[in-house]
Amino acid sequence: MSLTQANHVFAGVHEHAINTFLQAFLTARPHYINYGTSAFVPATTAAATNVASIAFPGIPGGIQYMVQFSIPVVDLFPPDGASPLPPGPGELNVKVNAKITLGCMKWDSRGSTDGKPNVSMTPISTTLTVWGLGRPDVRYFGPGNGDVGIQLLDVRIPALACVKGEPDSFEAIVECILRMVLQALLEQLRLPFHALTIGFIQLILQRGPQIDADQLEVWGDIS
Amino acid sequence: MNSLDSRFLRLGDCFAQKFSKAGTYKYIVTAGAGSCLSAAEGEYTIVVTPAKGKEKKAPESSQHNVVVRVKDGNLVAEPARTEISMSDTVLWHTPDAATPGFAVIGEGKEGSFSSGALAVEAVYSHAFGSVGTYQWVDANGSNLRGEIVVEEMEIKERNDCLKWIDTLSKGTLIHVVGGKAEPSKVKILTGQTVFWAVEKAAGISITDSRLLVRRAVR
Amino acid sequence: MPDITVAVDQSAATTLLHDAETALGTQSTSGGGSLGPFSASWNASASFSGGVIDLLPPNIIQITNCNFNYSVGFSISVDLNAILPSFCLPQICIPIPFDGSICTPKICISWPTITIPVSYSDTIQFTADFSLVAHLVAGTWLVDVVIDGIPALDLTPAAVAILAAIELAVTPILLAIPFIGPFLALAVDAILTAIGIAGLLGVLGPLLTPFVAGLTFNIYKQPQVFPVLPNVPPIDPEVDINLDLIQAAVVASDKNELVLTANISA
Repeated sequence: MSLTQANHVFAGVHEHAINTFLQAFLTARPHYINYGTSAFVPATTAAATNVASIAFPGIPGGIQYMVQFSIPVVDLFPPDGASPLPPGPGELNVKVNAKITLGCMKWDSRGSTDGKPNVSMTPISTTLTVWGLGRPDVRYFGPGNGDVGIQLLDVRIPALACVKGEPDSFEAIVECILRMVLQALLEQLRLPFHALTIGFIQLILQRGPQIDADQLEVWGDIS
Repeated sequence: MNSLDSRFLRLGDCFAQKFSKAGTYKYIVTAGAGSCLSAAEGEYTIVVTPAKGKEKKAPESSQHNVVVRVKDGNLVAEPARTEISMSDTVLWHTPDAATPGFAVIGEGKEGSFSSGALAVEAVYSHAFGSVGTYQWVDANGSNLRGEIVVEEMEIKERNDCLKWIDTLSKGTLIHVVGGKAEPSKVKILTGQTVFWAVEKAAGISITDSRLLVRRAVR
Repeated sequence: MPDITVAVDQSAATTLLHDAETALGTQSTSGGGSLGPFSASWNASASFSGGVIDLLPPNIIQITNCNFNYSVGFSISVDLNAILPSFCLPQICIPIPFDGSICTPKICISWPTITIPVSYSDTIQFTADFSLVAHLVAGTWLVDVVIDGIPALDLTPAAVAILAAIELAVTPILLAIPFIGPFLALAVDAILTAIGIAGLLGVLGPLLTPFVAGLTFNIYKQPQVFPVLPNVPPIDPEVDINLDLIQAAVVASDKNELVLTANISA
């Protein structure tokens, strides 16, 4: 069976290449995987993105925190190993480590001469491995102009499932928070058509993207 | 090249002047644009000696040829000095296609002469190299004019070629007296020569009408 | 399995090859030398278009009836003294009305050297096999389609046509030469015979063959450091990947395809 089948053009990107693209993107632009409030990231730079603290009445400066992701690793169907969210045909896994750091504060107004409390903050962190289930989505703007991204369907945090005695609602809240954050992250990561074809052709997309045999595949014609 | 214009003599043209009065004449040979120059201090000389004896019949006239060519970048006439008898004729010509168009302008106490202003007992000849109909006029402004039709002889075999070469030694004469040219229309073959014999005129040129630039009349 | 695979079928490959022909543009050359017994200068320009594309495994692209569109120009210098007889107008003596006669001298005609400008344009079709060559040159990956051998060009019809064009061009030039009339046909014949078909072929071959010898169409050109995303001021730099290896081949299956594969790294 030909690669192009009923179309005139085929492009296939192996999951190894997708991970290479992610590696290149997030090494050049790490601020997409590092977020922190002013106590940790005073201002947005190429390395990290400044986000607002969580305001709470009485907590001086609000709740300070930082979220840092490892470079996600994508595994296209069929899965390479065990997964808490095994992908089916046309689906993929995204695996990422999320390090959450909380600025744990103590404050005391006793002995204050100016009415302001004495604040001390101790960062405390935890790292959770997050599994995402997703499928590819495409935006097509015209011949040779479009990109492919990942639409997140669900997440699992295996570490939370192992915590006994905690209500399922706690796991659900944490998973929801991380799903939202991960989805926001993945929406920034889109692979343009010319990268899929390494600049060989101007793709007119007619079919796909599909996933098969660890490869993301598209078909079409050339302009 | 081969344009019909007595003001600019080139290969195939001849200018001849009969000298009927004795005396010394100075003349210049100049590129056509210098035809308004004076020849009084000309570097070339014609010495016309009077006829020997009185009331005797003038001896048979002779023709003297002067060759004009370019030497070291300048127009030169050879010989520079010509001694002739009264009623002799001097003929100027160039054998060299590279010689630019030139005029012969001369003067003496007994009169003047010019290839660009044919006046008395002057001859201009032109060998026609290309077919066509040539309307000739006087560039100096008189109404004198005529027509030369030049045709090609059909050469199919060697005899035709020999016949054509034979015709080349036959010239055609146009006699100009006052304001009239006779005949006013002639028909010749390519390679043949027409002679304008100007017996008396007001200083005329023989010029292809197509060569005259129209000037705005103010 | 390679990191990235891009395949095009024969229809898409045809588009790619025709685009590559257009991208090659018009090539030009010039020179000079002898054309028969005469000296001449010449110039030529050429472009390529069309042709039926066939993909032949493992790495051949056959182009059938590729159009070789060319124009040639000649400037031929002919010393007519070398081909026409010496000719003189004889002395003419004619009686003139105001006594005597006048005789013109013999006038010998020196024939000039003329320059004959000739232009000719035509299209020749040729068929040839081209090999796919993927190579890295000075930090740039190229996939070229390179002609195998030198196709034979039948230039005889062009030589015949150019000779006819010379005849057309030289006639009005000769007509303008005074006194040539009876010798005109002789001069034209002499020039055409001296140049001849063989003389023209002797120039056309070396002039036009270099355009097809080594003919190369480029179908892929990208820097080894391949830009995926451009920089976005003020803080996002360009995102690049390395094209570590590019390979190209023709792969057979239910339809033959031109397949480009790449291995990449961050």
